[in-house]
Amino acid sequence: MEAKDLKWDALTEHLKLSRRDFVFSVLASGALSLAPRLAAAQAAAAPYKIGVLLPSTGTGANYMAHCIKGLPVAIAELNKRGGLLGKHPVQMVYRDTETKPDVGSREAKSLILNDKVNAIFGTYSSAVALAIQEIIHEHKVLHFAATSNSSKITQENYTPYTYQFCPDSNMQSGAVVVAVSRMAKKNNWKSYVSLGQDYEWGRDTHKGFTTGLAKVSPEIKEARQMWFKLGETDFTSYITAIMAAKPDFMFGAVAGKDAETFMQQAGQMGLFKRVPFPGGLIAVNDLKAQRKTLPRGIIGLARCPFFAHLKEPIMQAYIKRDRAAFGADGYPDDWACMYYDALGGLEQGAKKAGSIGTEAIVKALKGATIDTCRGKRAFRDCSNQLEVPSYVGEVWDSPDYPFPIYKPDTMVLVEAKEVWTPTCQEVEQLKKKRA
Amino acid sequence: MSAPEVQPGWLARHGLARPVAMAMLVLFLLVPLLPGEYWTQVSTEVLILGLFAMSFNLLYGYMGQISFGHAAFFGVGAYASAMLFVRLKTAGGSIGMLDFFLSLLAGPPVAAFAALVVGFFCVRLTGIYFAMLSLAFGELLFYIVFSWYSFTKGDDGIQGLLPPLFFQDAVNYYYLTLAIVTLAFLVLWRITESPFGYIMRTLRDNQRRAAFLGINVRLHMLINFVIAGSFAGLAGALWGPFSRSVNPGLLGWQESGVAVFMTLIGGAGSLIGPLLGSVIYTLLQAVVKMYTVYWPLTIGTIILLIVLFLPGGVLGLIEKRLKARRSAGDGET
Repeated sequence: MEAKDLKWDALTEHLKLSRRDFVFSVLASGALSLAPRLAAAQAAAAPYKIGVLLPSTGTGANYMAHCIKGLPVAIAELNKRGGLLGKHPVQMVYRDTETKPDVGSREAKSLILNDKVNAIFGTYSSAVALAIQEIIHEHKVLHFAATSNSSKITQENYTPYTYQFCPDSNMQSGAVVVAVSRMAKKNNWKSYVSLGQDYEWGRDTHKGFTTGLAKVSPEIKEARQMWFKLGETDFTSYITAIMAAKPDFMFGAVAGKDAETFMQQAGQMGLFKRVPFPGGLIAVNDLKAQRKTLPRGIIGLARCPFFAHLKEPIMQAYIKRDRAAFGADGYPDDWACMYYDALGGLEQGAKKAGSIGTEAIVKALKGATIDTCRGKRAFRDCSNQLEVPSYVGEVWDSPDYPFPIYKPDTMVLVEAKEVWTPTCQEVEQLKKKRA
Repeated sequence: MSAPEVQPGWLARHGLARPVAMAMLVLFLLVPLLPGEYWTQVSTEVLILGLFAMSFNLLYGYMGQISFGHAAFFGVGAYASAMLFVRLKTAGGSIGMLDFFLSLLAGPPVAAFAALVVGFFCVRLTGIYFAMLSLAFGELLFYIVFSWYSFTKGDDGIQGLLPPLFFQDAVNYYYLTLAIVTLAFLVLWRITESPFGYIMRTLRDNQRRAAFLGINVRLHMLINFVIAGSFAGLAGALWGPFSRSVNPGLLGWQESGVAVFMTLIGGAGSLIGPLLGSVIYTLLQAVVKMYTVYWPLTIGTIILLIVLFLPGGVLGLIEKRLKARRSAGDGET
């Protein structure tokens, strides 16, 4: 003890400190040296919360089923790598929007204010997306849209916090225009009839198609347009009217459960044998759900069909993982694929920013090129719209899958750059002023 | 359509109307003390939907007619206010305080006008026919708003209804809503306790007898219909800036169902019952949705239980208990 005290005395005298001051100094410096480690440990534990706003009831629920069950699997895989930046585990909070804008707004508020989410993934309906954009912009929360594809989301209602991973309605219509004009030349088509869902997406898609086709092939005329309400169950009168009009082909802006019902009834009534129907939305989930009834040879439109990108390593890994999780038939559909890309976009945005901060990710993703299931794709600088293609092809029975896919030699992949409308200058003028 | 189980005015008869109303007001005043902004947001929704349900109860609880299209006036008020709001916004995208209040004031008269037109036809019928016609008109208005893209923006709805900076704060907007709803409550109370309110009760109990007494049945029903529509319109006007957007769903039959549910839960037997129903419905929805996606199943079960076991709603149960206690007290003396 005495020897120790002598050492203490020598040390404190040498440092010109009292024993008490010395002890405090050592403790303080120890605490200071530990602080960065403690902070790092705390940062490692800080989770990144994602709020998922998709419908599990109402219109669109059948389209979103694979996304809702697939996202947790993708997130678990991401968390195996440590999460965002390898240290922020991702947590997912799911809420049902019921495909209603008011419910979407309410749940967005709940996710942001109550669950303190850092980003929102969703929604299915464009009307819901437009409503929640007001909330996410006000609270400065990231928004990754990958199904709702009204062009207004990234143009008129633009906010720097929204990123679009799905080809928008203009791009999809443009893709159908490109495909139809090629077919029209080949088959000498002159007239068509339009059938659409009477809501924003249907109107927007129809407008994009008719305007685009009038520019490319002005000789082709629209003989008639028909609109039906969402949730229609009896298409007999529409099908009869289309057949009576005897058009060279028909254009359809029909999606979700309504598309399934229409296809079944039109197939049974022999519509597709008499009137070609190029460009109706036929996603992978439609190909799977209607594998027995879908007329072969019908020409469909898709947004992210896995079979178009089988050579992409990300797509290969994604298919393998989802089939392992959901069985042999568990091929991801277009919607799940786009949300998977959204998650990848978030991960790459955080990596590029070196931070999980919202503003840092916004800055990092501005005009960025990211790796996706659909290859390397860049965000359009003026609108945060990802430069993704649309797919048009003939439904065909493949020996490799238990459901039909698009016949490879008929598939037209229309790149975003072929159908970019409007120009970035026009987009800037469309953007509304936000207070 | 059968009249509500518990007759309006029982709270006043028990001398409880003022204490209950005051207690609720005090509780509402204290809401912003709760931690976090979220519950203030939920409480704002409680108040707005509570006012909407109270306006519905003018038809159901007091006049004895059920309307399945009442949300049409809520939505018309919301759209009238939102459309004026958008027009009054500056080039920078913000709105001034005066313009904001002007836009709020647009809701009730436009909704009242819509109610006058719809009510003109509806009051010619009673019971299930009144209910069906109100539903038909409600759906008609819904489809007009849903389809008229150039005027209402169709199913997109109208976005960007950000109130002035002061009211962007959740607590400030909450107190504004509380002030307006309290004022509306007092006006509704005055109406329901006036001779006109008692004529409504007479019409609910026996229209033929009321006619024999010289009451112009259709005219009084129409006036009540317009009053109910204008208060629903006021609630709708408050909804837009709260939600930052409006959409056609606000006019739909499902939104009408919300007012019906709230009134059934709280009890149609008083003006305050629907407000209590809104408290229960909205809070329950906020909490249930945090844990499960089965909200429709939950509320369906609750409504089923209320219809089977509590036909007078929560306040109806309280009245039964009070009556039982009073009878027991009378027996003892």
